[in-house]
Amino acid sequence: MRFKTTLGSRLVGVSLLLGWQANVLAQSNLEGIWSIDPSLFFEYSEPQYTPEGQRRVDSYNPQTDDPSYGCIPSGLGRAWDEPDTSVKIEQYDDYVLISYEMFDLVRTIPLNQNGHPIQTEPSTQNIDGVLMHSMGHSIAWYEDDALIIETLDYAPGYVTTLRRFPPQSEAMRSIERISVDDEDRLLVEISYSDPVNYTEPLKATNRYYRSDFDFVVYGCEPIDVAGGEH
Amino acid sequence: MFNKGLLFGALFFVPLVLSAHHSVALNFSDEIVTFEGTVVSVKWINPHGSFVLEVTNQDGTSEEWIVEMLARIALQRQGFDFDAIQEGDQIQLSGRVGYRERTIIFGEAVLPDGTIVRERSPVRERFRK
Repeated sequence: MRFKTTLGSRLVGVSLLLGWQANVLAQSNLEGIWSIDPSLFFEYSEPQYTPEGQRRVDSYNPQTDDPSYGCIPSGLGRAWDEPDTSVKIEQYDDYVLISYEMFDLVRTIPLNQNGHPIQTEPSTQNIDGVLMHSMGHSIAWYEDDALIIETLDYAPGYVTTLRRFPPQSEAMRSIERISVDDEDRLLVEISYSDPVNYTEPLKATNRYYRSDFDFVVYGCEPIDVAGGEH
Repeated sequence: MFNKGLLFGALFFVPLVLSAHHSVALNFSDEIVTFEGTVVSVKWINPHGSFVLEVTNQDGTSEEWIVEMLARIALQRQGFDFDAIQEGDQIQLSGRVGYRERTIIFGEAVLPDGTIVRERSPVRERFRK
């Protein structure tokens, strides 16, 4: 059977091809092992809390509300904010892996999805396969020179607990924009929208340089804060 | 050689010169104490290394302080000498007092031979400014 090619179908084919090429070209190379750049790190906008958000901040107790002592990140921000360990990014055709040395976390993020599934599972798990509900479910796509990651279905908690503790609710949605700047540094810009806790999106920026260290197993050992044992 | 177990840290508090309104940590105050004691146990682990320091009060009673340090991975990467602090060592320790009872975050330790041991994190230094 022979198909007739029309000008329209040819144009569609060409545009698809160009679109594919554009998509490939748009995928900047983010791969590598990255360490925090102390000169641009932990930059958060001033949180504009709702009354509920302020209540949650006021009730935060670092001894009982920080899951880090149990090797659990409080939220996405805590994973990116970690100063003493590295982050590894691997790019594949249909997904991206982001591994955080801290707590041996691995995020598996599918690319070019048609939205989030109705029933989601956390995208992040640790080396033992424990799912990290505090880091939500993520999907990603490329846009211009950046990887864009949308995450939702967060468990309630705190975006980060490193010196500040902006809360997060199940209604939170985050957008990460990850790119490489002209000096080959990784720039991670995150916008957190959470109508339960904020009247305006909370924004955070971190920058990383290519690490001199190998990516290693962290091997976290939970600390019993309540019992005072270290 | 140090006078074993002599606690003098709580007697004087030195304000942290570089501390400002952004330096208020969540788990440790800005108060710095210095005291002497004996290292009774050491854990070089992630997410925090730590050791227990036994100190003797002026009334002769002893108590144990938990000294929190950076993560083992961070100490390794800055070339920290893990042999510098070992069980049984008598040290002079300075650090910031924690909000939890008898906890302190490591500032520096002076060994009996006068060697000063510090941990270093450029990010922490930035926070202190």
